[in-house]
Amino acid sequence: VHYSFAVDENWTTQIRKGVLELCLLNIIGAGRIYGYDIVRQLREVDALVISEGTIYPILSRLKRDGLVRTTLEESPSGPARKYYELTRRGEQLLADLNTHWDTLTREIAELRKGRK
Amino acid sequence: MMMVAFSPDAQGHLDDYLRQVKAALAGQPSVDAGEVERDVLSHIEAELTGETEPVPAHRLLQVLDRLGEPQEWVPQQQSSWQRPFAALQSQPDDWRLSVLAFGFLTLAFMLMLGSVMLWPMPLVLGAASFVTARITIALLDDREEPIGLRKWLLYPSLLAVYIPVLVVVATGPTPSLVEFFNSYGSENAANSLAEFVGTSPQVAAAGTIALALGCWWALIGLLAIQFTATIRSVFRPFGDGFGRRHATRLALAGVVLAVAGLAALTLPRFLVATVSAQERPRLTFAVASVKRNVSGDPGGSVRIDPGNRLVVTNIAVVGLVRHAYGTQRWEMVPGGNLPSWMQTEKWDIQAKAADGATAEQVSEMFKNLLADRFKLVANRELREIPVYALVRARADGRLGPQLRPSPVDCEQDPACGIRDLLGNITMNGVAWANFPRIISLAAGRYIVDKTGITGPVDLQLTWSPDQPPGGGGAQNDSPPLFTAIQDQLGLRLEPGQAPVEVLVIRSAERPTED
Repeated sequence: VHYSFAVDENWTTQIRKGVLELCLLNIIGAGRIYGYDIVRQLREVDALVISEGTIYPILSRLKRDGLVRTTLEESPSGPARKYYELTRRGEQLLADLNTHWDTLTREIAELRKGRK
Repeated sequence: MMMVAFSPDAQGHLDDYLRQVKAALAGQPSVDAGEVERDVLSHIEAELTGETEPVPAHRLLQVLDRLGEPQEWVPQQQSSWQRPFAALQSQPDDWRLSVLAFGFLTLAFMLMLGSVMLWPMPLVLGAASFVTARITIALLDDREEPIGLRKWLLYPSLLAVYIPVLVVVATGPTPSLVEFFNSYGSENAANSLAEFVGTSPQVAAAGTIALALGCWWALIGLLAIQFTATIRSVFRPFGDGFGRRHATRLALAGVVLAVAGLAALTLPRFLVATVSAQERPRLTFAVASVKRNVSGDPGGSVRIDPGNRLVVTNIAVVGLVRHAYGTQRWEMVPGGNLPSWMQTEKWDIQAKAADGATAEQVSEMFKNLLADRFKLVANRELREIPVYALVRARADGRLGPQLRPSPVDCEQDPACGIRDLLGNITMNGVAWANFPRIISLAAGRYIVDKTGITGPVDLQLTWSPDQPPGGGGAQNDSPPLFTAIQDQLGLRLEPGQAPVEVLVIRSAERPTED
């Protein structure tokens, strides 16, 4: 199978794109969290390499799709802070996604072992 | 409201960034621009809280750089060109854009079929239909929503463009070449090419087209290998399965076609040269006698008796050549000032072929006898000669009462066949291609068939020949040939010139009698 550099780059971009949503849901699933703190946690994941500005639109979409809900809280040091938490539907989706991810990574790992 | 204080430069950068974000979000019904602005400010505030104030421009720019371009705040599924349409495709299972695309297409067809076309409205509507369908599919793709039954409304708009485009791409230079070969009246181009490559005009034209089309396929196949993703995208959703292997196959098919075309153009001359180079045994009669006939009788005959015996009585050299080569008199032309004795002096020939010789071999021996004894030099070549074009006489193309396609299957019906008498031809279930050849004898010129008739026909033609019928032929009150063809068959003979393969007689000498 021949992969050009462009194909390879596209592949990693698609992987990142898909995984980012899973990461977001997991971060929010850990407990109610301030939007900026979500960005800060993701910043630590070097492999994601993503513009921070793209995270907020995804959060907006998750909210629009009924997977997360937001609450505004006044901040003593600036504008009101928006906190995110999973809805019941979001929790169910996260559980499904995590199960799928675990299966996928386990089976891929087994495949790689088999190849060795 | 921001609590962090910025330097004037930094504030200018922030205002500019927010302005660009708002501009990017304009026309996004699903995004609250005010909420996005609050997210931006909240993020910047959180990043810069606790830093020295006023925050300098370079520090703000670092934060903005990590946030990315202002356009990235736009949800990815809605690019700027999609926005005007997004409002019509905002909900799952929304059919409005699909209906709109199909409506444009329907209107375009109605205008084309109606009496008032309002040109170029059909074209504009067709283009609008295609663009709308493409955008609808792009929106559905971005939302990962299946097209579903909407395909019945969207696909016609796409196919109305894709099919013509594919036909043009697939045929490439073929239409231009076909037009080129047909544009020279009597197919001069194909004939000239055929003469050059040493094959028939049909093979020459087909070979040229195959060569050009093969090269074209190979070229677009190679390009397709490089731009597979682009092709998939352009022809979405029909091109989804297109891959490098398809492009490679197209290129290979092109190479094969080009090679076949090249072979058709080069092999005939090569094969002729090869065959000529081989030393075939020269066919000659075992015994041959040539004598001058001075009887002065007007008649003469050429026949092959049982036992492969050629018997020629009282025939001039020109007549001998016509019989030996199986040509009509209009298919023979002099290659210079030929001596008059070739037409006036008559000869008797008696020759005996070896037992078991075939008719073709006897014919070959006859030609060789003329070459050996009469020193005849002749060759075949294409020449413009007077011909008759056989065309349909009526403007509506309707055939006459005595010509119709035949329902007879000659394989089953022993009654089918040709009855060719002087002034009367009957064909039952016989291929039409025989008729021009037969009628050329009566017309006295080569016939170029331009009727477009194919397949077996039933035909009855009766005319008054120049010579009175010798029994069983036409009656004397029958019409002349040209009138009969028009009245009875609905066809017409039009005089003209056309390149025809003729036998050119270069020279001959009086033989030594024995």
